[in-house]
Amino acid sequence: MLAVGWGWLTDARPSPVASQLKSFWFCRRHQPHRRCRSLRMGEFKVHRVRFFNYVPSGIRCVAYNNQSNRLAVSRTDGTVEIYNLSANYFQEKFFPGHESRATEALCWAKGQRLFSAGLNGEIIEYDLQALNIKYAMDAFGGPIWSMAASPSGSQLLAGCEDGSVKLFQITPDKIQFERNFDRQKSRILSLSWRPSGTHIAAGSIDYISVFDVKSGSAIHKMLVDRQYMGVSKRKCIIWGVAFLSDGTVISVDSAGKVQFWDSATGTLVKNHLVANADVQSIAVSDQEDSFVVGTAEGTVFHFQLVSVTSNSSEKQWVRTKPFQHHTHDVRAVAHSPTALISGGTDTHLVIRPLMEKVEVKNYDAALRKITFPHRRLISCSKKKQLLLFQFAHHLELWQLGSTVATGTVESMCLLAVSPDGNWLAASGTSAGVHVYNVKNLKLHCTVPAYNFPVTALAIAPSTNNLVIAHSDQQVFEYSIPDKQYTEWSRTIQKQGFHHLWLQRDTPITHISFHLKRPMHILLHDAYMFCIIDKSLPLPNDKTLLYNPLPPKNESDVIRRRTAHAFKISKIYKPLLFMDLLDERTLVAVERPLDDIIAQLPPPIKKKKFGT
Amino acid sequence: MLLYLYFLGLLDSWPQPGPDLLLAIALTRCILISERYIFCVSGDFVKVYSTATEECVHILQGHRNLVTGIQLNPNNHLQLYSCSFDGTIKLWDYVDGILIKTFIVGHKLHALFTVAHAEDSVFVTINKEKPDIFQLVSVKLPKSSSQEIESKELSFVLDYINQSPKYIAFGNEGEYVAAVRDFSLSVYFFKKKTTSRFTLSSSRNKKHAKNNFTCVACHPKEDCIATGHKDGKIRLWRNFDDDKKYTYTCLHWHHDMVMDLAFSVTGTSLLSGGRESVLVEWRDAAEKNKEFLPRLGATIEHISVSPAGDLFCTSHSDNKIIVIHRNLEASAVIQGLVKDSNIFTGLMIDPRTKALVLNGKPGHLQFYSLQSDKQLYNLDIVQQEYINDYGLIQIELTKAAFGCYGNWLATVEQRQEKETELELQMKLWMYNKKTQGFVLNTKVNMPHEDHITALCFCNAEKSENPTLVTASKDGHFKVWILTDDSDIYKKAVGWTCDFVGSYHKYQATNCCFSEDGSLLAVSFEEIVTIWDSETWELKCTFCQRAGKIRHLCFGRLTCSKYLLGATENGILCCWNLLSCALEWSAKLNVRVMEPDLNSENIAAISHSSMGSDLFVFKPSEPRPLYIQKNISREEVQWGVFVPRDVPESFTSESYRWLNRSQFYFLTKSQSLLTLSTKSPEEKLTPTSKQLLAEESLPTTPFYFILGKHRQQQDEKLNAALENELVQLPLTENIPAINELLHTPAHVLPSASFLCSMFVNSLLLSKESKSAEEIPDDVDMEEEKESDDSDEENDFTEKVQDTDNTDLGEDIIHQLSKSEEKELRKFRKVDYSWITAL
Repeated sequence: MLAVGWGWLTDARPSPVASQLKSFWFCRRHQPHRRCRSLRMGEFKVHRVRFFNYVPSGIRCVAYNNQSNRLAVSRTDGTVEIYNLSANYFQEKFFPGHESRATEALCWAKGQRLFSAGLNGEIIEYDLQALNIKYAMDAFGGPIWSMAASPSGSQLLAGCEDGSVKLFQITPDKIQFERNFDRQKSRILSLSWRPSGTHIAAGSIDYISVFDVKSGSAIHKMLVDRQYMGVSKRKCIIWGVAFLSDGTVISVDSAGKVQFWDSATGTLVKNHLVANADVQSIAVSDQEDSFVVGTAEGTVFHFQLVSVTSNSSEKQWVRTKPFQHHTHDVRAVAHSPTALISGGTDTHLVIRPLMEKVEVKNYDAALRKITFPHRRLISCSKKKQLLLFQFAHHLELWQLGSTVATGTVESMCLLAVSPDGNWLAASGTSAGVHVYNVKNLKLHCTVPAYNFPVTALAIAPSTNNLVIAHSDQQVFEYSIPDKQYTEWSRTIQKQGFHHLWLQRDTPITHISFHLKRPMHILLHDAYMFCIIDKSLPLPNDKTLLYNPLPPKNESDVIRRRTAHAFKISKIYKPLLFMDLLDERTLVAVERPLDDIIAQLPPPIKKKKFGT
Repeated sequence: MLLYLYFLGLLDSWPQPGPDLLLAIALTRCILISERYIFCVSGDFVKVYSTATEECVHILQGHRNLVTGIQLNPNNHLQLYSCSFDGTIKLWDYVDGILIKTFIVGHKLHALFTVAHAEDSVFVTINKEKPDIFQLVSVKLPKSSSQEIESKELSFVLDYINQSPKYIAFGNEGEYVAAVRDFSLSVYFFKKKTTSRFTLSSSRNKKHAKNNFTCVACHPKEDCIATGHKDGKIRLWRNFDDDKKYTYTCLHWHHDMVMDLAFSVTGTSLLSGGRESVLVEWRDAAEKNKEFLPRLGATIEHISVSPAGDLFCTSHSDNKIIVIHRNLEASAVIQGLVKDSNIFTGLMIDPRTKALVLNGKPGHLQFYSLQSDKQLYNLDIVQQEYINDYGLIQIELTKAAFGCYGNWLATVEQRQEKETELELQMKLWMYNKKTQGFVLNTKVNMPHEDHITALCFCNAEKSENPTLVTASKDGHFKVWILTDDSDIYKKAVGWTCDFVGSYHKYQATNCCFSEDGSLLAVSFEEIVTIWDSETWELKCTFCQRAGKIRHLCFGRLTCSKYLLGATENGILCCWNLLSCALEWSAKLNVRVMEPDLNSENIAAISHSSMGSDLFVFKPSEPRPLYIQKNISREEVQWGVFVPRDVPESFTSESYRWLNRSQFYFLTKSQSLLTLSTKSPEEKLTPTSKQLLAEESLPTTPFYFILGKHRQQQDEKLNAALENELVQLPLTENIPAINELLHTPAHVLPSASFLCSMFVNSLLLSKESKSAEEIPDDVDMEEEKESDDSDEENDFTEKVQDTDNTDLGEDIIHQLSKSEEKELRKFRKVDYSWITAL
């Protein structure tokens, strides 16, 4: 039996497995999704499964860490994901959430430390090595709406429901409450430090306060106009503030305004009306020459500081390009040096590179839209022909290998056992793969380290070859008995993968093998399913990688000449899981995007011209 | 007699011949507004209007070809630069209408730009080698006291640009120039001498299908370029001095091509306009902060902002200029003849106002005063919101007729989406004396089963009951009469159908009442039927089997016993109603046949590949009173006699027909032309105002083409020729002889008659000299028409161009004495022919 599971052990609750399985079998017997597809490697019966009712939760916060080029994303269900932007935008870490821990704020501090705060009033620090929660500490101010780390990273501010702004000192292993700032009348929804660390701006309802950090007193209270296009709205909520080093405070609010304030005088400098709905998020670049705001209409606006005339030093903020990659509220935005990152209720994480900042126009500079997690949510039992779905809050856990004593301090992310039960391969967050002998519970060998994280691994049944897929789309084959890469793996590394193969933007999430055909490796990502036939020649850049299904009348000669090792099928999209049930049966689990969108709350209605 | 053709209209322009016809239309219409005046280019002239009174103050004339660009002198706001295809830049004092200086550049100039800091140079667009490669060059204007200065000092700025001035803009006090073409924006920096080029993705990608640039404007204070695009977007470019860091903002409101853009003087707002006929003001370059001035009537072609910033001005595709205040309130409208749509109704004269009536805006009738060159009145016939979109089939106003001295107006509108789905509506409007306008009285849905081909009122004096006849392709003609439609609520009158007539299921093609209203003639394809209007009895039929009848009309006054019909096969027939027999017929391919309401005369315009010819005749005589060859190269669509307010007193037989009416006609390209005895320069502002000395005065193109050569010629010949200039091409021997030979024998008068006429004509050659004095008399009377002074002589020039090729300098230069004799002989022969006919 093939079994792959996730290494962390929290929040495991049994789910109604039996009922799910029954329903699956019901479906299968009635064969609503049963199709026969011819792949060139042979005929398979395909179970096309579309009843995996998975809906990713909306993105609530996004925090970008410039030092490690990592992005922390928190979702409305409390899940926190860490993306490595250098490793092909791979989601390398994952903290499962809980309804009681809905995050409202997320920030990096002291370099690599990640904090979150939520409506339960707790500040949580995450252990990025062990992938668990280091500690949770109550701030005693009611629900926390906002949090900001000081520019030096040594202090942490939390804005609370009761109108208090609390300053915490970050100690090496904990945070310590230092003092309260002047208490305001209503909740603090947004916070921003002046880059010099001397002042902070706090956005509340109907006004923005500027605090002096030393004294802790509010020096300015800037009232925001409630009027929206001449109509008075009930309240104007300051969803976000940004303090620039020249003393300018930028605020975004629920009336659709982006406003520039002079913090020295407390006056409004400029007003941009960008949306008919709320502007919900703001992020400023480190150079302070551009910032990005996200609106409830799903539009992301880019603002740039441009010189008024070429020969004067006077500069002004200008709204430049709008981007409409979202259908729903953009709840969070981030500004990396080369890209604008946005996420919202429609669950997509969109990374839009800034073309003027990109040095070379390669595939990395393309727009990325990440919808599905970069891991496998489905397992399958071949013998009993069972599928196992993994949801956010009812999570199945295969207990395999939990008794294995690991030799490293970091937690394991991916595990694979050999079908004969002799070997266990485990991969942590930092690239290396360890192979253990299950019989004597000892480390057998370690696969040489590779720069990019492992996205999937599996051990072949007969040969005990370990197949490893990395986030940069490289695939290795490592012989466990020989403790070295196989000949085929060396060949493909020497020759290199096809450029189109390397340009795919979703990682391989599952690898499996054909029982009767030892030369075949089956793997898939969200958009394609591939059978690698090791006996056939490898494709080079000139050959067609994505060959369509062969027409029936094509002669064998042509078919043989054009044949290469990678047989790719793109019929099933988006593909969450695909595996062989038996020699002639495939199971494919799809999750059409439309089905997810149908379950989201309706977006803000916008008038479209011509309708 | 000298006959000149005038072109009427406000923003009229002759499209530049050649491949880029579309651009040329936009090119020549160019407007500019200063504090007190609006300048608009109109053919060879620049017209100066007052913003306060909307009156034309001056016409700046002097260019010998189309004026292509005008700019205020940035250093003296009371002066105006203009450039023209004739290769000159002229500096005007527009307050007094005086030409100050002429700079001769030599190239054909396509656009003109001035920059404040560059005092002694202007920028022009010239065409170098290939027809569509244009260059922007700066021209140094040398300082000199003389009137005409050669300025050939050109320095190259930008290549491969678009010729229209909309595609080029100077920014930031002339630090850079932005030019757009197709999918790219080029910015040339004068200080750095570098060009940046930004290209948008072209139409291959469907998403960016219409990214073409259509216009450009530069912010007056900041480094910001606004560009308009074909898909209606406006892009605001910034940081364009850096090839990589450049950025732009999109403003999108227009759903179709942005026609023009203009920044306000301070740069705080941007004005844009297009086919939506809405002027949009974008404040602070923010998408959410915009103001509109809607319902401007027609596509905005140009936008101009006055230097003080308190006035805007837009020009529209329907020959209109609107002056708009800073607070987006239209303060004045200068409306010329609307040229926007097809003319289906033909030319009519409103019997009350003597205004010319024809199709105006879509679904409207326009009343246009020929005397003041102004639109008087616009009657909305269709009374439906006009949806301005390509591909929509609109309701079209196809027929209109006035009846009972202008008391009634009948209109027909139709809309046909498919072959079988015809929507037809006839409306009858009554003149309301109180409101001084037409009020809808009766609306008839589907008056006929098929298209209505003709519509006529019985305009007889004695007829007590107004009667209307409609003829239709469905084979019927219907008689509609006014009846009492009163009920218990009010007294009212309405129109009802009184009689339906048909003839052998033929399509009814024309209908016409006799002058006294006793007879109705209806043509059914090839057959003309005569009906008694009292009893609606078929009286008789005429059938000539010479093709379908295209035009039909009764003679008037002394000739009321004749009925004229013109057929498609090119036969003009005249029937005698008393004898019910064919009186005469002539071979003439008649396109337009119009009776003069004040005389017996009938004008017919024939068309051949050579051009259109005008014939004026009386039905009683088979010979024309007057022939004018080649009045237009293109087909003439409509013509009309306009009664004169004060009759002229021409004594000469050949133009006595112009005594009581003036003849106007409309060509296929919708140029409205007329015949006049005065030359264009006489009609325009007195030349004495000009500073130039008499001898260096470049009077008119006419003078240049013919006048100069004349001076070098033998005085005698000169004197003889000068007065017959225009007639010469007509009297050329070959067509005349051809005509003599080609005229069917049965049309020709008897030989004795011809002979006596011929002998008479020999004597008349002396009489013609006495006729030369007549234009002087004419001038006196024509002064009254000096309101028309803004009319143009474009057409004149064209005609004369052809004249030049016909009899041009070669012939005149090389005339030997014998040839001269021969020519005179020919002339005599021709002349005799004309009068004899």
